[in-house]
Amino acid sequence: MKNEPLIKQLNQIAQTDNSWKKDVVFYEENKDWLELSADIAIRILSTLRANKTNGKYPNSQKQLAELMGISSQQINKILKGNENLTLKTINKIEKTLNIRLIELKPNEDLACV
Amino acid sequence: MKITAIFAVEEFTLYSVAYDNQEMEFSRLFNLWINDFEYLFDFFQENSSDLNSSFYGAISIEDAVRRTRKQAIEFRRKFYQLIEKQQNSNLKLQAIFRPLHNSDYQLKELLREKSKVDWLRIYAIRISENTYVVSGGSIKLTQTMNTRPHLQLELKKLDMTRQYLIENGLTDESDYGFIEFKEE
Repeated sequence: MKNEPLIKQLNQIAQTDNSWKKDVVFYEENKDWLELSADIAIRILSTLRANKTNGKYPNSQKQLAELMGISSQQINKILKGNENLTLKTINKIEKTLNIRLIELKPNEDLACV
Repeated sequence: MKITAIFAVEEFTLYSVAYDNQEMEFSRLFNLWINDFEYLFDFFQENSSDLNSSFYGAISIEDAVRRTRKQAIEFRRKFYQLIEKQQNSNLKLQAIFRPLHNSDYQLKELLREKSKVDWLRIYAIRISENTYVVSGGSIKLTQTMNTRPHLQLELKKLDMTRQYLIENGLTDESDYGFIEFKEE
């Protein structure tokens, strides 16, 4: 290894942080619902921004939190896309923003039974 | 802005500085790109003219946010795979780095580099054959780095990191130069 003494010295002063590897593993093990959570967060933010442009209410995280009766911290966590949201919370967001976040399509196979 | 710590992302291979007592740049950037949608909406709003005139064609801000998250997840996975497999294969981080300046293809020690997945960049200084120190990173929608403030800041961070390494006796300037590795 070239520059070996320098790298040994670097290793001595550097702190170790492997948390990013845990994040990778967590994502891989939970990616299906994490992607849904992220999709919901992005759609909420997109709606709040569109409301702001169109002069509608609510148009900020704070206003959304107030309308939903939850804390700003809770809204902040939801908008990071890492929350395993309950159907109750999703429904509350849908009603507050007047949007659909999840929808079941008719199952054509079942209709034939 | 000041470098307050240096972290081993992976010992002997990948290091990252941290500024102003924040988390290390490597983690901070991926958290920003993967989970800080408010930041991403603000960024693409502020840079909407670059977004619409970029190589990628006109796309909505919401799409740009989704695309950034997707790229960042893939990018982080690539680092993970290269680092985890490194001991048992010929795959090296070198595979995703290239010199910062496209005109210089000469391999040298202690160089500024950027790793690339579409518009995401991680900037680093190469101090040995397969050892890098991350100084920062950015969403790069323009060809050059010196026309946008957020990219100019990254150039300053590279200089700050180089200075930090020199002051701590962690570099040998005699072999200094710019290189670019292109993602294969």
